[in-house]
Amino acid sequence: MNYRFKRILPLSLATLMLLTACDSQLDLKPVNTIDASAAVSTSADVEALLVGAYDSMSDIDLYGGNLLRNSELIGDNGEVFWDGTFVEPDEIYRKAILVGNTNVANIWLDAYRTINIANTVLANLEVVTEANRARVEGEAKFVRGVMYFELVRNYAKAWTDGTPASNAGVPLVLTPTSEINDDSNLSRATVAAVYAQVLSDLTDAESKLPATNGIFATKWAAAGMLSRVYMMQEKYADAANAATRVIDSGRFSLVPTEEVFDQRINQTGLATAEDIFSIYITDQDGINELNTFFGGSSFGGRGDILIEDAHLAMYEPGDNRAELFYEDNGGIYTIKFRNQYGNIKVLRLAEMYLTRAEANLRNNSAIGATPAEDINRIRVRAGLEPLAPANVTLAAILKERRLELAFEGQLIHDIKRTKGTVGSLPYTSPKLIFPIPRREIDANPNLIQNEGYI
Amino acid sequence: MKKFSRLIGLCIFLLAIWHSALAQQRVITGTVTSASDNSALPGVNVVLQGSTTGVSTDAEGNYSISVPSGTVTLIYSFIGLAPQEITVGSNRSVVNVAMTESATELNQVVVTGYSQTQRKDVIGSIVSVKSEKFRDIPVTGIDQALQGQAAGVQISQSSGTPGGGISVRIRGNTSISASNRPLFIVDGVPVYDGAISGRDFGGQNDNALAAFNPNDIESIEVLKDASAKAIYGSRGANGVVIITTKRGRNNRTTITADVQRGITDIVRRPQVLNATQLLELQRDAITNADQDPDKLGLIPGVTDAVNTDWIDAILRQGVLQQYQLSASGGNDRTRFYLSGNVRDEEGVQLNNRFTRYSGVLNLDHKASNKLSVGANVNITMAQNDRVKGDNFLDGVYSGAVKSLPYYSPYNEQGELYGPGSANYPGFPNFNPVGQALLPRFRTYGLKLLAGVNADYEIIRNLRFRTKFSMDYNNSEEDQYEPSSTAIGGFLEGVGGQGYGVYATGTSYTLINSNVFTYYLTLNNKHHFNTLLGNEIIHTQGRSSSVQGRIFPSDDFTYISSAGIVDAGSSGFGQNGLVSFFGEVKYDFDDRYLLGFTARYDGSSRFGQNRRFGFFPSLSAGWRISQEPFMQSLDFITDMKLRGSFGFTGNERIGSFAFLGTWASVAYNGATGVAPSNLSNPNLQWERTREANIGFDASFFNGRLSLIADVYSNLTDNLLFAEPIPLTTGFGSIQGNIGKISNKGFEFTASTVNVDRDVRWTTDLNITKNINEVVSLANQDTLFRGYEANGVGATNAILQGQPLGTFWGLEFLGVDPATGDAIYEDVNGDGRITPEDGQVIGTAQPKLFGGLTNRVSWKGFDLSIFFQFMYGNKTLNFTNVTLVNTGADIENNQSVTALRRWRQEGDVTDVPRYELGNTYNNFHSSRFLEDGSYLRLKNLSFGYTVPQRWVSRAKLNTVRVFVSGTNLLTVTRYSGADPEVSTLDGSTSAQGIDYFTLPQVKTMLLGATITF
Repeated sequence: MNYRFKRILPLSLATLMLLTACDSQLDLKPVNTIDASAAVSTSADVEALLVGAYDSMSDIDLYGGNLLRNSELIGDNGEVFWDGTFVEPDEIYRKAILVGNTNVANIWLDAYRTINIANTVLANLEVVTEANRARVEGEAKFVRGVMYFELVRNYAKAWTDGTPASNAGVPLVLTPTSEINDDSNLSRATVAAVYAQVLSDLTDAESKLPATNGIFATKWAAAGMLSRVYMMQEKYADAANAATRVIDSGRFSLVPTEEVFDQRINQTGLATAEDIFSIYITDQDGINELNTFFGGSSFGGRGDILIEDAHLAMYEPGDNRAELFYEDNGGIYTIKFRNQYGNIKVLRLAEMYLTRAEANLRNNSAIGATPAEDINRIRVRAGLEPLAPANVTLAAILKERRLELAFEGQLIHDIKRTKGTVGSLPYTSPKLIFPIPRREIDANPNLIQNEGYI
Repeated sequence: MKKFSRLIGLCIFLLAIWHSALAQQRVITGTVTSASDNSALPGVNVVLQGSTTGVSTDAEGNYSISVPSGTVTLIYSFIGLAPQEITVGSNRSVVNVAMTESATELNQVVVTGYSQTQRKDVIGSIVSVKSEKFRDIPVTGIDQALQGQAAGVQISQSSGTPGGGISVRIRGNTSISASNRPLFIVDGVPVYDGAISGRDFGGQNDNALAAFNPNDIESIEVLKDASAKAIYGSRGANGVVIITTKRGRNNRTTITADVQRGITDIVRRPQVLNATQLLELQRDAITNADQDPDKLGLIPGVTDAVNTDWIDAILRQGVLQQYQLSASGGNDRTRFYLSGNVRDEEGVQLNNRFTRYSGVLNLDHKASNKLSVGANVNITMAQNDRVKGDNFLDGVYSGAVKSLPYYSPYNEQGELYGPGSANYPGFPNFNPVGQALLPRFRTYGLKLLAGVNADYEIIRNLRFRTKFSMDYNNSEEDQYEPSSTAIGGFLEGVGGQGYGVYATGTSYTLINSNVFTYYLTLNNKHHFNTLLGNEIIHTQGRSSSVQGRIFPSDDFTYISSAGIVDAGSSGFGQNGLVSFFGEVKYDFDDRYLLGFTARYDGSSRFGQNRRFGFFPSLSAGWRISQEPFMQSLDFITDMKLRGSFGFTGNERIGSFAFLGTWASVAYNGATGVAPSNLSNPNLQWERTREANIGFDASFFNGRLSLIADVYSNLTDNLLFAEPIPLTTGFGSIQGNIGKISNKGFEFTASTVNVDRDVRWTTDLNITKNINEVVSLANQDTLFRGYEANGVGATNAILQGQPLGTFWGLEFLGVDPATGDAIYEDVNGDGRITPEDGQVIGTAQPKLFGGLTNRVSWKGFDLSIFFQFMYGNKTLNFTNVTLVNTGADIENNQSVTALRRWRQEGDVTDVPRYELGNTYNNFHSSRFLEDGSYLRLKNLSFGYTVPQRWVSRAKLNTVRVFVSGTNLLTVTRYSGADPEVSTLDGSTSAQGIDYFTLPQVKTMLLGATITF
């Protein structure tokens, strides 16, 4: 037996050695992703993460389009017609959102996903080179502030509705997530607390961001966004001042009406002198989801949102903005999103003039310019006669705002801050507020659902 | 290393139980030959009864054994041959033996995990399917060959597309997120199955198993219970299919030619309206909506002046041809099998074709008494000309079914209408004939399956076998849609002016396995069969894809001519498995059988904490028929009770799911990163606990044999994306939560009803499997399948329900007064909302099986094979479009719409038509139908020409046959075919018919000639 064993032993040992050598073949590394634990070690890593934050913000559920589309659908009172087959936008259009609406859930998820990236950047600022640190911090805070602003004004009661200091806002997460524990189950902060965070982030961003920053957020983007926040809070002087800082920067100018929107077809998006902050789309990357829904089927869209006569009738004769429509397959569509790869304009100069005009009028002031001067800049560009100062009423300004910024995602928020109505629904109607996604309520026992949703 | 010390221990134990031979007195020598062709049989075991003394024959079949003086009994045994006991008198010293092949099933070889055994010694639940069972059925791949042939194995073809996907489930569905397909092993090598190209073409995938020629298969074994599968450990939970290819035998060279040629046609065509019927219906719907049909341009005599049968226009009679030449033979040292095959399948849809060239070379060489080496090489090239299917807006068959008959495919000059022509149907119908003929969708496939092995007998009965193999699969997808098609021209947003895609995918696996086997007999009563081995598997996948648009003209069809080249990507992935396994099988006197099998797997797919898993199984059998008290009951040939218990796993959950990862992103040309996955170092395999009790019996010398099995399996640690608060920035974390159970009963009966000049045999198998989601991570309904109008989705995963559960409103009928649909208001709130959705049925059958009758008389043979499914529902999702109650007027309608409600008092099941009204078309049980069917899967009739005629032509055998598949289907399903599944391969949304191409029926003539 012994000698036989000797013959087998080397064979067995050889096999075992082969095996131990191969144990390393279980320690494989992914190639299309990287291990999170080793992801942030250099300044370049943090800056790459910052690009990730913009990319996340450009998701179809956020500024890629759906967030803006939903504002137009939920605020609509007969100016557009939803002709699509997707159930989620249809629920929003009918103001009959169910708690399981996946679109509403995806906006929530992607906003917090973006916030988590911004938080990760902010937590790793010490790695960033001295020269870039302020800019990186400013950009991350811009992104975070903007996302919380969108969350609080979509998922909670408006600032003008009841008591912001006690109304439930959204959970505030200010540190990156690395693991799941009990602390992950956050409660909703108050509307006032979220607004305070938004103001703090955007103010900080404005001070730290540079005046020019390629296609990314600038000082002026932060100021423009601040003017929106102040308008929501009815802080008109602050809003007018913020808008004035943008206008007076001298970096932006109004372009002819037909050039405001990219009317080319299927070409990588172009910026204009009027754009303050845009989501960039190229034929290689990004989806213009406004094109998907507002665009006719001949132009890469689904042709789901038709423009109704009620809207077209609002234009005065001679208004060249009434030309910004086209017919496709028997329906009328807005030309604003006809280019499949056109950029999505989040902030543009015309809004600053309209905001300042309204803020000054309400504040009875002339910060930067008089309301008439501002409103007439917009009217003249549209080929209309200027209004005499006596005729510059709040209604006139709001109508001008609606026509100028139609379908660009401002509708429901303008209705809420001006205490308007959507058909028979008052601006305080719970139906005009998104539900907290059901899966979120299920996953986090500390969350309380909005009124009117079960 | 702790793990290895255990293994060494086991090794030493195995050696220790070996002990040396007894005293020697005299020598008996002889030669063992095969009774059929007188060739020498090497490797036959010659054992002295009542001792451990034994030898095996050498390459020339010679042996020499030392035995005590006096009369002794020698036992000659060889796998697949009938054992012989020969009593040798004291003065006889030369014993020559001729051995015959086993007559009964009991001694037939069954290939198990890494070894083989005889049917009588099998304790596990294993079905063997010999190639004769499917030789006359023109199946494309091995998965298709198994349909209806084995209890517990549920196979359905997802569509009639040649080379398309096939769903294979063994003992039900075990997983929600991981793969449910069994492990396919060809000649010891796990092979890639499923789709290679990764492009599903509107639901219908390509199929890697279609690249494997079933005519080269000798037998298929399906391993179903833990005792049979545990040797495959973490890959065994969904069952294992072991394929053994043909190998040369030790005899004269045989050359076989197979020729098959036939025609194919769709089993049944969907019945849609003609132009006049549709026009009347549409006018009715428009009028009901208080609109004027004339204003919409729907004018009798004008609109219906053209009446195109689009289905007829895109279908044709297909041609199926298959030619194979094979040679096999060898001598006592070298044996070979060589084959070449061409298969050409012209599909029933215009321009659809699957062509395959394959070749096999299998070699076995005996280098010495102790060492033998072998090799197998299998090469396949395939070309699949696909057409867009199912859920493609511009699909061919789907387009034809729903296209309005008011348009023509061709103008007077015989040219296809294209975008730009006023007569082009446009969105959403396009021109299905053009969609079939104009684009190029060609998938080139290449499969290389090759291996070398060496087998060395270290000492008697202790063998070492090592094998190195590779399985290489490559696909190239060459797509071009000219500007005359929907994508290439009509939808400018997509193509603009021609649209091309070129995508490649490669998947290969390298495998090395090393196995020791040891066989030991003590006192001729105790038999031990042991096995110990390891296996290393490395799998790699690579892919690339690029897209081009804006071509100068339709003459330029490759991307180098494209004006815009974009959507370029490439990818790489790999995973590894390192395993150790062992098996001990013991039997006492062929009566009491015991088995222990285990595998220890380490997988790269899991984190350090859970990298290794242990999968053991225990089994026991009792051959009642061997008991002395049974010997008087001589009508019982064999009777065995067996049971097994054990664990198997499922590691096919994708790679790196455990790792916290960041992915790259791009924004306007700048690249960045973003977190994509939260880590879960405790992520582990899905584990299935399996229990099986089986009963095998054979009566009247095998005239009647029965196999029955009951099993209860519970899969836990289900891989599941566990929902976490989205405020963390992540949607879910991969976890192991939830349980699914499969319980069932399998029954197989084989009888020889008449055994005279006429021989008539019957095989029947029936399976019942009950699938249930026992627990889930969240209480919410998980929607799957298609988004459904008015009610969430077509499918749901719910605790207490099986996978494949259909969801929808409950349709209670049509209100005779109003003609509107009545749905059940589940929550009683007085309106119908998505909250009224409920479970409306399941795609899981209550019973399924197959029945084969074979009759032979003189040279004639007849085989009739039925296959059936009973108690399953099929979702006729096509009818959401085809019986749409006027939701739109862009689609043709089914003849079912002629039954619609028209006036007060009409009692019918089809609601009234009103343009723009979607309420009546909400997704409901109105679209769910009984999908049970009984199908004459194959009918074949053959004639073997008498020997005296063929020998004159210097031929060996000649057999000619006619064969028909899918000739007859008995079903209540109103669609074209109940055996379809638009979401090919889906578990949670199976059994949906959504413009899916029905199966085809085939009639063919064939001949087999051997020289």
